[in-house]
Amino acid sequence: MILAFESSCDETAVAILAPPRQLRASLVASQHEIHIPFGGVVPELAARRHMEVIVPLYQDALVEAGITLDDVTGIAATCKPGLIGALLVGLSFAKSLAMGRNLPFIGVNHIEGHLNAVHLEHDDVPYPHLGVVVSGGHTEFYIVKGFADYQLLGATRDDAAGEAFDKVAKLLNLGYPGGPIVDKRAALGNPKAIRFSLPKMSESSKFGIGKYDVSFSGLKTAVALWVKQNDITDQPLSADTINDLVASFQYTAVEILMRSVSQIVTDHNLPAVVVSGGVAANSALRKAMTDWGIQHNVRTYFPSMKLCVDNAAMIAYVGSQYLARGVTSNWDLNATASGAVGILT
Amino acid sequence: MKQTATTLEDTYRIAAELAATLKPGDTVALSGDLGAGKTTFVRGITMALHGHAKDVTSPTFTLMNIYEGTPPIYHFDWYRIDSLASLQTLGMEEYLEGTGIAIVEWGEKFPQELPAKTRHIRISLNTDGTRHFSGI
Repeated sequence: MILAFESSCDETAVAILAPPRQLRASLVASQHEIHIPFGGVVPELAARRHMEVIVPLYQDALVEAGITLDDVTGIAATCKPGLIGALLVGLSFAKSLAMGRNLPFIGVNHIEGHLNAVHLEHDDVPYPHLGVVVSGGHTEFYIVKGFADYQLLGATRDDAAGEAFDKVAKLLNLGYPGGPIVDKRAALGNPKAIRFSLPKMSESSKFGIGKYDVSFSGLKTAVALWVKQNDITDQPLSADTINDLVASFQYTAVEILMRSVSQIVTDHNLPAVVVSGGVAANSALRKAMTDWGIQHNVRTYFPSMKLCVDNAAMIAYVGSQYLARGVTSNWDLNATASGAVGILT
Repeated sequence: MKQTATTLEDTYRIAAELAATLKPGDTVALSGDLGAGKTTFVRGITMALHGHAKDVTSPTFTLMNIYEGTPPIYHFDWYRIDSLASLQTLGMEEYLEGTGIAIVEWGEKFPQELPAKTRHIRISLNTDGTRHFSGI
């Protein structure tokens, strides 16, 4: 049984996996009722919050899995990339447990976790495939040649896709989290109502732009500009106009992602695409990707929602695969803020 | 003083002019609405100081990005930070007034946390798509 911890950003998560893919528990603090011993107001974005919840969350995970620490054969924790203070909480707790119980320990890259989450639900994903990680903090494209064999081909040059959704929702005062709200409102609007242009990405730019890279800040600015030009104080935007606006924004955001996906799949002749991260929940992206896959005879995979958002199950999976191969981390493994899993070529 | 940018190149030029006046230990605070072009301005500063800006992305989610180079650039974003208590757990004082240049987006949210000598730059997007930079 593999015990895993994830605390790279806002979420604290603990999972227990019976390898290869039987999840016995997968708890995420924000979606779980936890009794915090000392209570009080805890800063939302603080490492302290991870510290408050990690022990009770770990104890609840053992109970949910119906096991004790005696049943655990290996421990994994996210070690990069993320906020150092936040990462250190999960990593230090995991290392201490492993050291105290004399268990093998492995540090896992968060992105590698996202790229592998799909294997918890599917055992037929072909290699090589295109792995797309789209979330509030990441927008990256990898060729996944096999387990632990990744090549980074492109990434966002500015905002992550999920960040663009959140910020557009904020711009229009639609609430938080922006992703699901924009998705819902966009379904009521006309995606062709307003034409936003796609960013021009040229390979030779001195600003380090690769041909598969994406950009969302121009689109965000275009939405801001459109609002400035059309939202006249004595005549606020109607609900219908907002629906059209977010539908058009979402349509363009999906186009931006699909452009890179289709270029990479074509250039590298890949048989499948795996989309993970929180934005993989977006219905327009799912539909565009699925339709495109059917049309081009490319298989498309989306892990279920609980495996798309930040979670420890994916960390447990990657950890279990490394441990099964005899790979472990040293006790002096430290948390690092950056750390892509492939090399940009 | 106020400068106006009509094109992306104008923004990069204004950023480069500011960059030429920055030295290690300096802090720049950027304010402006969503979509005003704060991260793009940081891209321009980094390009001017490092010769490239390959690693520059929005730090909204990560809260802080470090761009290695001479001098190193610490790119902060306080957009998601909702309380002084949250901000104070980030340990950013380690990076301010040190060996690198700190640039803080949404720095106006917690002005008391910025060094006294911080350069404040406001970016505003106009209805015709041009941008005004004030405080340069």
